[in-house]
Amino acid sequence: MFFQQLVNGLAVGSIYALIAIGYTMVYGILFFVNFAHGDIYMLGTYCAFFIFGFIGIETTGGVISVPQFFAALLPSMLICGAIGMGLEKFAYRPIRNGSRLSAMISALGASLFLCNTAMYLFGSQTKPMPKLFAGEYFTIGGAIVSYIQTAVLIVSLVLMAALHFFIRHTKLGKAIRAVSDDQRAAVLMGIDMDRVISATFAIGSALAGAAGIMVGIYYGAVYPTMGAVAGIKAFTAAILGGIGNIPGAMVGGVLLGIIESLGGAYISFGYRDAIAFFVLIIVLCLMPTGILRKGRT
Amino acid sequence: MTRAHGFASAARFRAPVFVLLLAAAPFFIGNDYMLHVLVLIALYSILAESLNVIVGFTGQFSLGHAGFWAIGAYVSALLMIRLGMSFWSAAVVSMAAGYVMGVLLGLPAMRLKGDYLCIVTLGFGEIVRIFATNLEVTRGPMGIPGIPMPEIGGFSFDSERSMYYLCWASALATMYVAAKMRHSRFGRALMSVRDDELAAASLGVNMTYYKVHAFGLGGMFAALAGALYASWTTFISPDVFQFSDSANIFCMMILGGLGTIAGPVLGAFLLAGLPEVLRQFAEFRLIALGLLMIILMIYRPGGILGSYDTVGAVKKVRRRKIDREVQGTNVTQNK
Repeated sequence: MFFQQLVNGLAVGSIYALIAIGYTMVYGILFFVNFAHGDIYMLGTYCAFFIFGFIGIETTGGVISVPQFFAALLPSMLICGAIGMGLEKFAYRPIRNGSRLSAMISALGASLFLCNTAMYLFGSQTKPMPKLFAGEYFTIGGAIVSYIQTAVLIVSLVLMAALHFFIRHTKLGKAIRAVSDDQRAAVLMGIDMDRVISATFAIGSALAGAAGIMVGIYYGAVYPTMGAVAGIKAFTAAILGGIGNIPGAMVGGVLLGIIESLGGAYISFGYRDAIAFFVLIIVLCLMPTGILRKGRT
Repeated sequence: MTRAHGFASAARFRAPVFVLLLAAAPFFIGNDYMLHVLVLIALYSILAESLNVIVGFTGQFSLGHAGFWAIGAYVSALLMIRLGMSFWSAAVVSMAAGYVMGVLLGLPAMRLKGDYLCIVTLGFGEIVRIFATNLEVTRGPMGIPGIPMPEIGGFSFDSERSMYYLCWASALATMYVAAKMRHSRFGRALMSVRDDELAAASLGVNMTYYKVHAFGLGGMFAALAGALYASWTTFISPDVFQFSDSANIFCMMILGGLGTIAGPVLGAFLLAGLPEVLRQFAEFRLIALGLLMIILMIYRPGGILGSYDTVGAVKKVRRRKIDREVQGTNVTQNK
């Protein structure tokens, strides 16, 4: 039972972590919460939905193969990255030097815009997504681990490892770190802020898109308001890990997923989300900057 | 200072006109639907105005205002139905409940700031909603139907018009209290907390007291809006009090003008009124609203009625913070 919940929590948590990375990266550079991030995640799921339709897979009860999964994953990530960059250019760049409050309102406006545009274009009803691996599973120590959970975990880990490599070992990654450490000094060193910020939005949004597809397949559903709850959860995860800190977002996401699963199983399923928030409030009161604070990457 | 006086004297002329217009409106508006929208605007005005005490005056982020609204609605509805209390005493008790919850929520605010406070308040709103969904006494997702209307001496507020007057009277009272508070010792203390905590604390302003009471007062008036809402619609369920409502109330306050008195009400007219008036463009109205919010923030970041002072203050504090960080003083984003 305990091990089973741990597995479930790990799968959901790694998805939270992917979304949380986008929040944390943007926060690390611009110091504001991109509330439209959850909606980009939702658009990622829709991208996959239409790609599956395009390559002729039955969305109701259909099963996709691994290559088909990647055929949807990569273009969706690219499209989400582009949407993220566009969003930054249109909604956030003009107010970059304004107050954080106006950035926040602009983000809420962008979220409203994206969510309702999706509702208008795609309809507000829930649509089914095809399955990956048709519900096959294996057991370890009494816990049932489905193939899709394993796939979610592996894809998330690979993406996070790739991000880590990118941030640590490429020039652009170094520029992102520099800007998030000290904006003024970074600009004085000749780093192109616009480019760094664009890249940050592109990466964060692409990861959110990837998370969106995996959630869509994991739960078998896609709907325009799915970004709201996931967004709140991921934001919570980012704060839990210490916002602005990329490894923190990963740890926070996985931790939140596990807390939720265990709380749901042992205390009460109905209060599952409340337990997650209670833990968050307690953690924040004891460690006001999250578990891994910024600067200790 | 001259500007503050200028604003006050302008308000002296503007406020009575506004009140007269509101009092006369039902005589010119024939259909109940428009009155219905105006009642909704009155309730959102109370909510945005009360949030303004927390965010606009005291500078504490709060994204869980729908939580107080829900507490007010549920406490008042349950007291009336289960204990048979009158609306008036139920409303007073629910306001007290809102105040106590506000004070409790204000406690973490002593340690947390900015986005961390944001998420704690957001969590509060969600926790309230989850409890309302799961508790037996609130009947979970089914909600509470048949909430009685307010009554006084045999007169029942059962028509749209009577609720209109009751709700706007409450909204105007909230505005009046906020306006009085702004220029009182208490209000100035709140604003000093917002503008520079360090300076305020060293001048002897008791941080804990003012922060906690700002949350308490904000929660109290939001609970009043909740009590009115419950009796007006006669039905409440957890779906009514979502995070999107908290965000919506927040936007009303910012769009109208943070820290001003008339701003949040103007914001309520815009964000609660426009979508109703534009119902025939149902599909586009929320898309347009999102765009409007972005465009407004680009061209009028202080809100429609906002003075640039508030925005300037936020900016200044931020710049100073960055400077301190540059100088190597250990000032983190949240401490």
